[in-house]
Amino acid sequence: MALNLKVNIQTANDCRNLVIEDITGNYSENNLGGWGGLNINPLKTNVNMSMTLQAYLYEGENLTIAEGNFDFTVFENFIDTPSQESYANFKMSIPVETLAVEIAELESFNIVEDNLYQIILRVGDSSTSTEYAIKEFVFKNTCSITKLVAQALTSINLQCEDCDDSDIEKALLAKSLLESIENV
Amino acid sequence: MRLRNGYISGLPDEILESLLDEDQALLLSEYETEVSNGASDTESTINIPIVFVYVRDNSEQGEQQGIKIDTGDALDASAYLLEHFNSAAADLNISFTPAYKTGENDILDYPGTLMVDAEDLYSQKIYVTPENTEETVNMYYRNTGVAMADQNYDGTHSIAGVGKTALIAKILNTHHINFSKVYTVIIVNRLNTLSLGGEQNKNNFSTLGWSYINNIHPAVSNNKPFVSMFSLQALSNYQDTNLEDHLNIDLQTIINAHNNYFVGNFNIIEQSPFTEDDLKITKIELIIKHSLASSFGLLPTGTGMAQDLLLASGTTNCDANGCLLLGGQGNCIDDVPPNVMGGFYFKKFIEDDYGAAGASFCNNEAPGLFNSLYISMYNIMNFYRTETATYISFSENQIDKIRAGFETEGTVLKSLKDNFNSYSFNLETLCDNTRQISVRAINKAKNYTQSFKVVREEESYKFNYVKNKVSLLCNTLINR
Repeated sequence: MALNLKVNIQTANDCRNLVIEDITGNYSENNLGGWGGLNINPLKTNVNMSMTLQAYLYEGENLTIAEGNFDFTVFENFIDTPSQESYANFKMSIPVETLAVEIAELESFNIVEDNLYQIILRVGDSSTSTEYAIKEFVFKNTCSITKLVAQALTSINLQCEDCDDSDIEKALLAKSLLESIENV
Repeated sequence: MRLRNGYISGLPDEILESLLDEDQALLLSEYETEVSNGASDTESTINIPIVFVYVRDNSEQGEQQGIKIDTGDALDASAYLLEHFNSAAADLNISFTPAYKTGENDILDYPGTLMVDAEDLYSQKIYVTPENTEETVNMYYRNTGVAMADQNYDGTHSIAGVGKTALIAKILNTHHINFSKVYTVIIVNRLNTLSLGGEQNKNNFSTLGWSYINNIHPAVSNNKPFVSMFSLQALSNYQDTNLEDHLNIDLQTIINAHNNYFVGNFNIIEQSPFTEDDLKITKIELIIKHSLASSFGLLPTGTGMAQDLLLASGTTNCDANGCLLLGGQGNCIDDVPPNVMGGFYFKKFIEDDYGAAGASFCNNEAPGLFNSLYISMYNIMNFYRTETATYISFSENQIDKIRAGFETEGTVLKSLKDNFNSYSFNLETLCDNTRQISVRAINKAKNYTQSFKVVREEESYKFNYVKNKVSLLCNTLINR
């Protein structure tokens, strides 16, 4: 089995950084798609990695699809690896203003906006154009909206016996919609 | 069908063919009667799904003929065309949006764009040699384009090019398209009007051998494929960028290849031989507007009676204030009088300014502004146009009739309108409003396709819609 990249994608708590964490793991009998073994070794001297980010940005009804490429060697300051020599278990954390370096459409944002993002991770030979692995991911960012729903829930006065239940219904609807957004 | 007056637009010959068929003539008459009652609403926007079909030949031979088209370039061209189609239809309050699918289960890879590979597309035609013997020849699309008709005006010679029926069959063999649910625009390398053999330019008109557009009247959409056809040169213009730039092709290469093919194989020499400049029109919207209006049921301002169309140089007269489709003579429009200029169906849009065109005037008229000829000349259903002309829009009656077609039960136009939500963007119950996919998004999709496998427009739209709903709910609670 070829290298099967696995990652967790999220934003930092303040919604300002896009965080991508490698959870591919090492090659083993139980993880045939892992790093090393029969698959490519993630040594930085052997391989080069890059991430392509595509953001679906809406202004009213109008959609703009903006895209940028982030080479790991160029953005090394934003990539942490447990081992200095290897990309295994890398953790990439890029602030929105750095994302805007490659994606001009993000310049006006001070957080990673709640939107749909597509991400491609590539692992290639560092000296030739050989591509060892490529994988696409979809990330639906709900960082801000999650905070907003939490705020709305806490704004409801549950002690008020005579209050209109419609507030509770609205809050629960918002929470329900948020939970379903991943399945949209 | 014979080529009589289809030298710029194929509509006059298509209409005549339908009038010569009893059943189709009845359909035309019934349609005209229905839409003559007018529209109840001319203000609201009518949304229509649209697909641009590019017929290409990416083989080595096709590349030599100049009609190799890359899909990415076609996407770029679709964005360009969409913008101009919407501009052309703005007077009618009609808006086009790229179709996501063209049949119940026929999803397009790219919204509003379909590629058809035609390297093996050909028709057999009869060529009459200079010695007056007949030879059967295979006319390949890449060399000859699409024939505007089967025979010349007197039925003595075949018209060069692949038959329209063969072209439609090829397209439908590639991808199913429901023409009554998606407005289908076919872009071909050439709409051919050359007679295969015999004396050229029999009519003593300066025919170039190239037509610009071909449209079908909506009343006969069950009898003929309801498509709109453009030749590549019809969508060129004098602006800095045009369709050939977006498609990354060279029109002169296509013209040279065609010239060489016909001279080399049939000793047929077209006018000059002509150049790219001979084919250009002033403004792309004009020919698109004319084409759209033809598809939406309007007739040219020079329309006379059926007997006129039977001639190879049909003209009309000052009494033609009625309706051809109802058995009379005229363009069926009350507020646009007949255009009685000679050679009406043969003159190009860019030719002749008013007053310098050898214009004919009806009795009691004098040359000058606001006489009937002037009004009919500067109407979009005319083929004349100069760079200085300003009266190129529709008349009130024309708009009313077109819009009535979209309101009339059983018409292909109403079907196009009614299927917008299903064919342009299927958001079903989640979204209660229609939307426009931005031209920019399609442009971006071109780059996108180089790396990502799927464009997630629908998914992202739903995500955005739900996100906005949640925000609205929460902010209502927080700010109450």
